[in-house]
Amino acid sequence: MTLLAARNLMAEKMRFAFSAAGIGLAVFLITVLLGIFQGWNNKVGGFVSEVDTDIWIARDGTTDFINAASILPGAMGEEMLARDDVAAVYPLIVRPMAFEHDGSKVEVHLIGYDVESGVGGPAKIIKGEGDPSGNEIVIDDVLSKISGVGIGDELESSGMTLTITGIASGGNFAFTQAGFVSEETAAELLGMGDLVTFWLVTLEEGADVSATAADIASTTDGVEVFTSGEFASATRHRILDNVLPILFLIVGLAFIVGIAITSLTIYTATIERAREFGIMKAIGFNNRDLYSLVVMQSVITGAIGFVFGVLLTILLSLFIDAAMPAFVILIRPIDVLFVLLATILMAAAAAIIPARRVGGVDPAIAFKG
Amino acid sequence: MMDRRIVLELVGVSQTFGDKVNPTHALRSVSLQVPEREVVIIMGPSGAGKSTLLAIAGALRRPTSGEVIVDETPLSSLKDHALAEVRLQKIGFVFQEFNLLESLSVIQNLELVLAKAGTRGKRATERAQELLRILGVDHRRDARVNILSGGERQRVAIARALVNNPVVILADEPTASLDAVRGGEVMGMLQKVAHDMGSAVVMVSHDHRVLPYSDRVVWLEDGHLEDREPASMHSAEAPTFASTTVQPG
Repeated sequence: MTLLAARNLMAEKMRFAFSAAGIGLAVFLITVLLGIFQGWNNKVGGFVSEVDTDIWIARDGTTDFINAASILPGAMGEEMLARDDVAAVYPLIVRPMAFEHDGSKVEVHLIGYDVESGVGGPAKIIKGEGDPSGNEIVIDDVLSKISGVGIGDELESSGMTLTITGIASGGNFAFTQAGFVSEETAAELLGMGDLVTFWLVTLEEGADVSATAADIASTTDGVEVFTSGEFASATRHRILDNVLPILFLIVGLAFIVGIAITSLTIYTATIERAREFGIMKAIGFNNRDLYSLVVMQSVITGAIGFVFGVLLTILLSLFIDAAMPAFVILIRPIDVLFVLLATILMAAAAAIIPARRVGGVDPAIAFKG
Repeated sequence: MMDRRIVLELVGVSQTFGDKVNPTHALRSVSLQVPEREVVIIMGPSGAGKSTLLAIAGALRRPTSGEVIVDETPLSSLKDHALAEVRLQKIGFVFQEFNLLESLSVIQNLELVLAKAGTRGKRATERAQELLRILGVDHRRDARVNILSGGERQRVAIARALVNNPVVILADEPTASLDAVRGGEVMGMLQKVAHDMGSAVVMVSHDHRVLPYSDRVVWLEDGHLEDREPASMHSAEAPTFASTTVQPG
């Protein structure tokens, strides 16, 4: 039956190719959108997750890392450090800002961190030096590619000139990319004095993170306190909550288009072969066999479309990686499995109407010349 | 005849089309008994209901009333899937337009039906190969059926009809699409199938040239069936198929 299903499809090669391509494009669209979602999810929240701390303290009303409209007094660090359950406290200054390089604007998500501990600093140095001091800045690899700046180049803002001394990875937040300087340089550049954006708190071993976070929140006025996981999650949601409905809508539309294309093809192939189905019924095949044949045709179309769509996605992601480094597509095996299930669902749904049509074919049609 | 087993029986079969106001009576209480090894030819004018009779006898259509019994199995109480099983196991069909599956090769057409009946792999290939050899088309086993001649296609169709050792073969105008030589070959084969292999053959035909191959002729007109003597219908001046001897492989 599988052979017959394949041969039936191949009887009209062009139509089959168009159908598989249609499914492939639907699979491609679904996979790309999932890849974008996972890419953003990974990049946007990934940096926060990677920072080696237990608790993030921000100004009351702060929702996430990207929109960090938070200002905290420098003295708060000492207050936190005085607690028995706190092992260390680190300042972090975060603010999006624009620099100039050779007359062009370079937008940077500036992060001033404690260089000595490295907490809040670049995740991985891939080129140059990693511990910026004085007027040095380490920029994210994607920012380097987008803006065309590299080691030795100078960025100017507020009368200060910073020299790029290192290129790092892990600081791409999809819409913006990180530039790392020392906390002192950030404070000078932004006129922050002893103010900071966040206090990062590392707890003593064995301390209960959630309970400590709750206690800090209740005993300190005007702050929002997040565990590291909560803050990473909040940061992801800040971005993704806005785009998720759109992504789901497009995924849904792609799914429907995939069903429509396959359904139309299988239906047309079924109508054209109504007599053949009648003959099969006449010589002893029952409706269930014919349903299987139709579903098999649909599944074969779906399977080839799936392979085509996934290959197209992989090719596109390679191209995008080279051409648009900020546009992150992350394809995980689990997502590919999800798309495979979606394709099988598409194929099965597409076979419903043609299968019903087959069920109604009169086997006596075989006697008509 | 009476000592042979009846493999197909129609008992008071009627078929009415249309509504109660304007009914068309295709068959009116038709009865027929066909024993094994017999070649029965059903003749009659166009529109007499020959194809309807064949469809009912072949479990493809349920009659308005009456009973059809195939190999001692009454069909009226069977559900659709059981009727399909009867068609698969007990009945072989040979159609005017051959009705092979064009996308498959010769042997695959036979293997598909064998597989449906539960015979797969080497056994299926051997069975198919054997029938193709008997019917003289084994040299075409791997050819796509759409490149075969009409005579070759009909031989393959007969082979397909025989794969599951049916008790009865129902043939609808099997020579209508063939020239005289091929028509004669096909009739010779169907006669051989009945006489040597034991299946009954019930054939609908307009073609008087098939009469010499029959054991019995029945005439269907106005929904009524009556026996005719083959000799009475086949005069000395009537055309015959070209004299052809089939040489099985």
